[in-house]
Amino acid sequence: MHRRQFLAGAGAALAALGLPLAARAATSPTDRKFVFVFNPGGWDPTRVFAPEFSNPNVSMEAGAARATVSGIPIVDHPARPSVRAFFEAFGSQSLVLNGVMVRSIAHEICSMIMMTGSSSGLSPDWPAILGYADRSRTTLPSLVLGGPSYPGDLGVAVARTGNNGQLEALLSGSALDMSDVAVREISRPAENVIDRYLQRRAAARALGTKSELEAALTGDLSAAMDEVMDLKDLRYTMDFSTDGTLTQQAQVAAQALSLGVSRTVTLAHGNGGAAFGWDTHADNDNGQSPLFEDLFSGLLSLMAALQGTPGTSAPTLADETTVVVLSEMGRTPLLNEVLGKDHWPYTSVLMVGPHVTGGRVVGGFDDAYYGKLVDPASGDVTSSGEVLSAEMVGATLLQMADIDPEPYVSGVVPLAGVLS
Amino acid sequence: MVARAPLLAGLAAIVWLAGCGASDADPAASSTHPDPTVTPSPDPDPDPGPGPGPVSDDIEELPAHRLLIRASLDLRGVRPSVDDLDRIAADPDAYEALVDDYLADPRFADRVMDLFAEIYLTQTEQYFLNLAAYGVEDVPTPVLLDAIGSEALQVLGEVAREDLPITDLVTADWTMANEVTARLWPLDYPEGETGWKRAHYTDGRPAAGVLSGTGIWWRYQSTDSNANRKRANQASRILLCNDYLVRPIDFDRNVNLLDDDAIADAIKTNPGCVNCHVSLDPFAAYFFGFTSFNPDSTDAGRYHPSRERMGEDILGVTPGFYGDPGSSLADLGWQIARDNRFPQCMTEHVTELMLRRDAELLDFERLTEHRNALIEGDLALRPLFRSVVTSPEYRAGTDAGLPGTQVPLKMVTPGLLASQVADLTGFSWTAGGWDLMQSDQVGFLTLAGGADGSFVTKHSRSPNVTLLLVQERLAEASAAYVVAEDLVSESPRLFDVLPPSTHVDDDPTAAVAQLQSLHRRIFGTTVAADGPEVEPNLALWHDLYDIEGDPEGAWGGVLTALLRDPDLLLY
Repeated sequence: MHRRQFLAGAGAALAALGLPLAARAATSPTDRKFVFVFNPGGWDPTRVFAPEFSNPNVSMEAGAARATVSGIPIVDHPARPSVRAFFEAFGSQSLVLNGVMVRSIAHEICSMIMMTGSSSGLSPDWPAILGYADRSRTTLPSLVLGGPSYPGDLGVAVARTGNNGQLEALLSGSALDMSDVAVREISRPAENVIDRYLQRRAAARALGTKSELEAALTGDLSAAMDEVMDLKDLRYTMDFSTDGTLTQQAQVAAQALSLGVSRTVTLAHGNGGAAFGWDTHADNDNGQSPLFEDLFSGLLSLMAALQGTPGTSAPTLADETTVVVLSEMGRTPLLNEVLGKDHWPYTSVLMVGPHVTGGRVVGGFDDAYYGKLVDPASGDVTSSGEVLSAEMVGATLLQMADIDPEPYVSGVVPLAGVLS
Repeated sequence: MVARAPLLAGLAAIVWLAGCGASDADPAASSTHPDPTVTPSPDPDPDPGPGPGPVSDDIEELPAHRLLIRASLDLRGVRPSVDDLDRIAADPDAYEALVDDYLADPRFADRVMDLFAEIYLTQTEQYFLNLAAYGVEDVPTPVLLDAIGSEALQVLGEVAREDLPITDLVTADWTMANEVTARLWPLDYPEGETGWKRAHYTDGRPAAGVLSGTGIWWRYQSTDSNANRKRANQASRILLCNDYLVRPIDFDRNVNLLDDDAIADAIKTNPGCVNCHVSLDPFAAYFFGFTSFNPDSTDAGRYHPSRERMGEDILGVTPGFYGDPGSSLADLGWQIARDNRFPQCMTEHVTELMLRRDAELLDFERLTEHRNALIEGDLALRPLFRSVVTSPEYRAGTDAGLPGTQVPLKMVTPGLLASQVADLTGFSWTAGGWDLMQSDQVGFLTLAGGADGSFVTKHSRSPNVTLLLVQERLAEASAAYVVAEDLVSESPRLFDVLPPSTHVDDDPTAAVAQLQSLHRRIFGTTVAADGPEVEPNLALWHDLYDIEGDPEGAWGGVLTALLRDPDLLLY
């Protein structure tokens, strides 16, 4: 039995025992899992998270109204019933961070900053760091179904599935069927023989090194070869392909987490797979509204999947998983001349799960639609506080998993006050 | 109008401004040795032989055959021939002469383009405009995307191929076009011809090399509010290694970002804004000839001289380059060509791409040497590449002993994995016209560690599980392909000793010789007939024969294993 199957079996057994809720809080930081839902293009927080109806500097949407659901003020709109439904069901576990600053207004740079805290593109992102820390227990520690990925030096822990079932095609061997030139495929038993040969070869190659860098590269390669073997063991159990919808990505994420294949899974939600589907420089409301409705409908599916799937250290995945929903930037508070909204350096982040203080909004927007300053220790807004930055969000997630943020975002204080 | 001053004037006084970051190499890196009970095939250094001589008194050089493999892959995209391996084995000092041969290889220009694809990031699979307006529905999508994304890289390739000064990149009155871009854009490409050739735009655009091409600005589009700042920054990032967006933006909370007038004022007066905008905005003002108003027409495919001065109204500044005024893109091209940072940046790009690591402060002296080689070589790229691949850092077999970080081992890019396998086996992995090693929507680009320019902007520098899976299927397909081809070919590529329909027991001596030949060709190693690599390979052959039931399947499996070897990824 492989380590994943053992862990999955243990999770299912706990679920069967019907352990009380108190057991859930005991989830060790090292057992905590994460799902990132990235919304590329820049969402408009004023359509869900920021009910700035009294702010004359903000264009709010016709037909929208302020509502407080499960203690969280939201922008309610009849065209987006899933938003209300989500907060009714999960608001008590939801933390909204408003006024998160990303220091730029360019998609690529903001994506890097939001996901890594740096604009270099060489720093590992939060999912990679979280996954890498659990590398000894997972085959694909950080699984990326869609959206950005910045592995930095932790690439060995990161695996993309591709947008069109590429990982599945590689695992099954059907990738060869795609070739314009028909080629003979190797039988599965022969493939196993070659795999074992190469596993020995990779391990031996890792031994014959003369330098630290060489040892690191060959060591990564040997480990990756072991992971190839583990992954192939799963190919009749696990299906990595999706149709791109959030609902189906959620199913794959739940399966990967429950089987212990991954610690973090990154999903993307957008406009039919467009690179920056949320980028509504024109006709903002007719663009953002259906996207938010579809997003929250998908989040409901994701939460249902997490609730209905055994965890590896708790009865269900919902008991050990934090869902982080984010976009790389916000949008200008006022509509432009073509009823669109342009890029804005302050945005919102939604976290859902047992390890954040739910039913709560931290931060906020001031009259100029800048992010308000917060006290990291409490999460309260205070004029003597600090800018609620993407780095602070990342540091908080790392702390949640008992990972020291200092090597990754030096000097940044996590939002300790939002952790439960 | 900007004066066309001699380009080399003043370059002697260049001070290198490389990025910072201390080496994390451990000078006391330990050495370990393989378990003698393990008989890997092939051994990483079975026959190192003498290297081309010490590159310094303090460090050990890569074994000669590994160094040659590295240079051949980096400069031509293929592994060295057996003749070249024999030559360097006989005369380790032949390395530099072989480097010159590789630099003269026609494939050098292709390698330059492949390397710089990671810098330009123009080969995207999404364009935000209506291509249907251009009447190219009959052009297969992968062909269309490749043509658009390759224009700027082809200009660079032409500069490399023809030993033109790199200043032509920003001053040339020509671009590179093929039969597809000739249908998209106003070009004097000869009718009825095919392939990439020099051509000229016919819509009155200024002559500024890649700066006046359409393809790069289709990749990097702008919006009304962005006002071509994105394009200016990309030009700055690619050509001057000065990326404004890497700088932290200090949004002054006292500036009302909701007030257009306040923003315009802050851009000119607020220190946090002025720092970038004082140079960025005049830079951006050069690009307004590319402004298009109708995304559903061919408006975006043309340059509009009448719109060149729009930037003065929108940005409130006249075109200029760090205080040096100009009036058209041609002026900008010459301003960049005369800027000391331009050759410095090219040097930094080439050094980083060849070493596959970032430039460090400790590289100061070496980067200066490389830059001087570029300048002394009339600004052609070959002398610069030559300087880098003959440098101690490139040739080092350990990661200690020099001020800057040596890279005794590095990982291939997806393009380099594909090109070496294609050269060995003749197999290119395509599907419906898509290059599966270069496409992300259809193929395996990012799974193999590549950058797609949108969500992944840097090639991976370390292997992972998906790369190994891509390598596996590529190896499997290419091995099967070459086995089938060599069965019927009078000039077999790899099975040059015996046909792959031969059972090894029918001619054991020839079978061993065939394995020796495969090792020599693929890994550049000389394997003894009774060497530790042979027996495991023969055992693998028998295991596979028992399963597959025919020699072709067994030989295909053995070749698959060899093509999946770590040494195809790490070099």
